[in-house]
Amino acid sequence: MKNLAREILELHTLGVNGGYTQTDVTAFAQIITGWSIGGGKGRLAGGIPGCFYFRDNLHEPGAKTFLGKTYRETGQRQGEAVLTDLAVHPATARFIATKLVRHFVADDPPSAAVERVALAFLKSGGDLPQVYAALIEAPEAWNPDRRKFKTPEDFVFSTFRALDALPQKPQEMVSGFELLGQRQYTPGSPAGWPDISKSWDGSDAFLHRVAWASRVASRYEQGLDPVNLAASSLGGYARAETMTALRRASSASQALALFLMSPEFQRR
Amino acid sequence: MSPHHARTTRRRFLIGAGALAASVASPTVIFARSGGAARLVVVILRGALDGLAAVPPYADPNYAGLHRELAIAAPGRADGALALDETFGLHPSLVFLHARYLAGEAVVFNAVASPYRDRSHFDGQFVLENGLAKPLATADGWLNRALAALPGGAVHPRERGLAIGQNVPLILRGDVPVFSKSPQATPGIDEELLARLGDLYSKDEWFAARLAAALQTDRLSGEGGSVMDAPVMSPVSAAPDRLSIAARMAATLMRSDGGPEVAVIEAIGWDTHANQGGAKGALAQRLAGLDRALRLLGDDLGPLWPQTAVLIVTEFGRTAAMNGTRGTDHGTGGCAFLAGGAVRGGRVIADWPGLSHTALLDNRDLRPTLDLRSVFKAVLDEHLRVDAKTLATRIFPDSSGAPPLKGLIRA
Repeated sequence: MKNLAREILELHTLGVNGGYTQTDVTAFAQIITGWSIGGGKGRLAGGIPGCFYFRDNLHEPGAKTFLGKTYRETGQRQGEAVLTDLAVHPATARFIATKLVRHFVADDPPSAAVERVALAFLKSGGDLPQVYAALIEAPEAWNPDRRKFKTPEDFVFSTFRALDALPQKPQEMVSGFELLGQRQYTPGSPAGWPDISKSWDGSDAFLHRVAWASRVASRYEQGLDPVNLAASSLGGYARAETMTALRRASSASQALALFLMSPEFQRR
Repeated sequence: MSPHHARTTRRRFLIGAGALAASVASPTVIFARSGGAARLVVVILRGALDGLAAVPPYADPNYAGLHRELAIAAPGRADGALALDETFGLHPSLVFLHARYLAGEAVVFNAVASPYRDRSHFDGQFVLENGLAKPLATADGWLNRALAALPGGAVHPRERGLAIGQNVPLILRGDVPVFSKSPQATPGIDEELLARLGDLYSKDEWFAARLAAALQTDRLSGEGGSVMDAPVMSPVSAAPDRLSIAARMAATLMRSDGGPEVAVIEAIGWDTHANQGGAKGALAQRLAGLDRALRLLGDDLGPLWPQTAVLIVTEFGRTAAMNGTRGTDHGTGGCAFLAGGAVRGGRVIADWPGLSHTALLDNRDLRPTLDLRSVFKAVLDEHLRVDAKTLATRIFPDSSGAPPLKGLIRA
């Protein structure tokens, strides 16, 4: 429970510098005692297997103080009340805004954009569509000097979209994720996948990326015109030297691999 | 409680407990003097290893009561610890490490910590790896800054740092080019495509640098490929023993012509919140895997072993008391190991604060009495010969409170 409480605070709401203490972590853990999953045996009987289930007999009774506020004893609702407050906390707004801007704008999130998005979060009480709208309206998001190196997942998805193809077997896509170091659903940490290019640009990972692009290109080149495909996919971002390189390629398959590995396509 | 137990509650330095073992003139010492450039392998145990299980303070009167069924019994008892000295033992899974200790080739640290004092894995690892007092993920790593300080520094003609894994962990990131190599076999890529990519990246420095590093890795791995075919010692579980494969790969690459002098290996799975186990169980299996990887690393480094130091660290320790799910939670003080032919070992270094109520930090964690940076600095100073001023200013700024230990490496 204490670990879950810490993760909720650190990874999903306030963020590690969000102003909570070890005492808050302990209090929050007590507040969510009894939160459980249904379908156990004996003492843990009751509820629907695999679904949330509140076990009153495992809940630590009494009022608890968390982040300076006292929450009276309301069973399951005590934890819900805390989550409701956490969801609109200024530290949460800032934490979510930072993550969004880092993901969509730049590894080192520009503070003006973070402020703008955090403000929208606070003003709307955490209404995500309004938060996303603020992100879209941020001028930093439209900077043509795009600075995000695609994660393996971005790369694999965008490759199949650019090819306008569905993988012939699911395994083709799955093996792409695995080869490039991002096997789906297994981030290895409750914080999720890392979201900065340094986490994905190791020399071995880069080599695997080239290898995967080359393999996909040879499998999907039939009936494709790589130069036209690159021009329509990259639009205004296409560099002259990339288009020249594609035209001079020794085969359609090679041209396709060069397109997929071009800096324009590898960034987003 | 025997009188012996009462005695161990005093704070005392245990340096020199195995001085006899270290002073025996073994062939190792002779090799170390003539063996060429020092090699350093850093093993990062991500998830926070329970130092009180790996290096059980079996003689501490509060240990068994706090750690309960997770505690390791005293040496000589059933499933007991491997004896180090009158206070500490090693977890019974750490057989090879114990043999190195007896041979005077391993130092065991306890009650150590980085300057980080909160309990987030991620921030804890950032501090462990960036060498600063603050968890800045975007900083560079202390091991990369150390490479920059070596003769030749950033303009050295070849890559001297290796990360085993697809990507480079923070500790090794920075200005000095390093490379990564994962235990997964690299598929063949046709040479012409690589040459054309080189042209395509000619005006994009970032991509050009990535490609150059990738090609360097590919070249080195001509020899490393055999690692994949090498049989791995009987793994405890059915899962492939990644750590052993990583250790062998590091050794093979370090032994290759122009191979790296510094390597980083990462091992996950130490976050034992539930069902940690004692002499047997989940953590015991992990430790056995670590021990096996260490043995394979030593075997495969072969003639390089006498000039090698292996530093094994984790982001922080775990709670002194067992929790409600038969595990331990994030703590502060923990353990570390330094092993290798170049190490002046056979010693436990621990200014033991004890585990009594009043001795614990925040009434829950082992109180750290030694800053890990004192160990890092000693290794960089005595082993890699990084000069003291650079160590104090550029590599570990704001670390004046953590002076380097002395005499960790054989002269």
